[in-house]
Amino acid sequence: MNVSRLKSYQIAALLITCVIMQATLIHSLALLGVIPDLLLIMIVWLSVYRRLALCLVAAAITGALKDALAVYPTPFYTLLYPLWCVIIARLSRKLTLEPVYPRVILVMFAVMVNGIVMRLYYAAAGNYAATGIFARTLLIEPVYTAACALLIFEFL
Amino acid sequence: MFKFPPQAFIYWAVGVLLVVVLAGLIPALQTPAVDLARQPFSWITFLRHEISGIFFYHRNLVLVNQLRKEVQWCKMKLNEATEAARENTRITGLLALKQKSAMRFVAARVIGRAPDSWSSSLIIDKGAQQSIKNNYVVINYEGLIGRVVKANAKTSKILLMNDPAFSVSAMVQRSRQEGLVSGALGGLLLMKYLPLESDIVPGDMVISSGLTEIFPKGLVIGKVVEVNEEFGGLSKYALIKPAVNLSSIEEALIIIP
Repeated sequence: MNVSRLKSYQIAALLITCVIMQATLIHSLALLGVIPDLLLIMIVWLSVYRRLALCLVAAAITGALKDALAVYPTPFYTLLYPLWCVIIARLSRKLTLEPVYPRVILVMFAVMVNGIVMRLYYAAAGNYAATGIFARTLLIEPVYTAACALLIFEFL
Repeated sequence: MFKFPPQAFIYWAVGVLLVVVLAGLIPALQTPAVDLARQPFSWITFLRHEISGIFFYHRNLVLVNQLRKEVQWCKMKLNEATEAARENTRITGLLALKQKSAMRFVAARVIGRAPDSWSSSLIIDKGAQQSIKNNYVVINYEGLIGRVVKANAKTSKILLMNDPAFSVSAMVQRSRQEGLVSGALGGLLLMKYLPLESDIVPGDMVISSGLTEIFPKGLVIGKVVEVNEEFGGLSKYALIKPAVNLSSIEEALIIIP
């Protein structure tokens, strides 16, 4: 699938499908209670090939949908996903992100940063999460998401 | 291309007749003559066998393809039947609970889950239109699942027991020792604030104590799997395996107070 040739409505349909999958089917792939962030993979993929304005809109909508499905809706992903779009756009000027591996590393890094931000938010909100569980999630989630990203980038 | 004049046929016929007569007269020639005469028949038999083999193979191929389709269909039906049987078991359990309990319930199906790894929640297909409100308790026939955190018109969000934001006052069924059970995002729950002298051992059943107003007393939470001292040594904590497998919930009952 060549993302640079996809029309806007096709991208919208793809992202909505991914949001639904993220809230339903992806849980059957849970590894030690951790699920891959399919939406972030799609945002990174999109950001490498499409112009920033479209990516920002797509990322904000996808993030908002993900936030809406969360237990306590916060504008986390609505802000974080467009932020990653901007970072990738900036990086694309200095680095070549066309090969698969830089993108996979970028996905891994983004998931890790998202995890740390979420942890800080939960801690600030007074929700206790055992350090072991936090460390496990923080280690497994980026690696697992990166592995899924590798598959998706290779096959799409 | 091949010319076979009538004279040649006569010569052949006479030749064959001579061989037959000679074979009849001379015993030593009988075996080779019979073998020679048998040869064309064996060719015909071979040819017939091969042709019938082709038909047999083709018929078998068609049959195998048909049987493969039937096996696929049977597998699909078996899968459907297994799924129906499992659903039946679950719903029978829910129904039994609904009938024997004095509480009012609304049954719901799970239609979604938390989209990230940092919280543990469910989305069910019933909401405010079915009298569901925030903080209503969600259970199934095995025990406590969680509570409603957001009741929309037709759907509701359920905070599962293993979410860090969840907590419920609980007690050990055997010793009546009280504590606070909360989630830690893993497969186990944490029972905190247990005094050092508290009577709690692995295998003990933990139930809701009723002190948290929204949770009725006696709901099964899980079983103690490990008891340890807190880091400061001032109190103990217990790890509890939930009675309900929180990663595979498909139906739930919401208690309507």
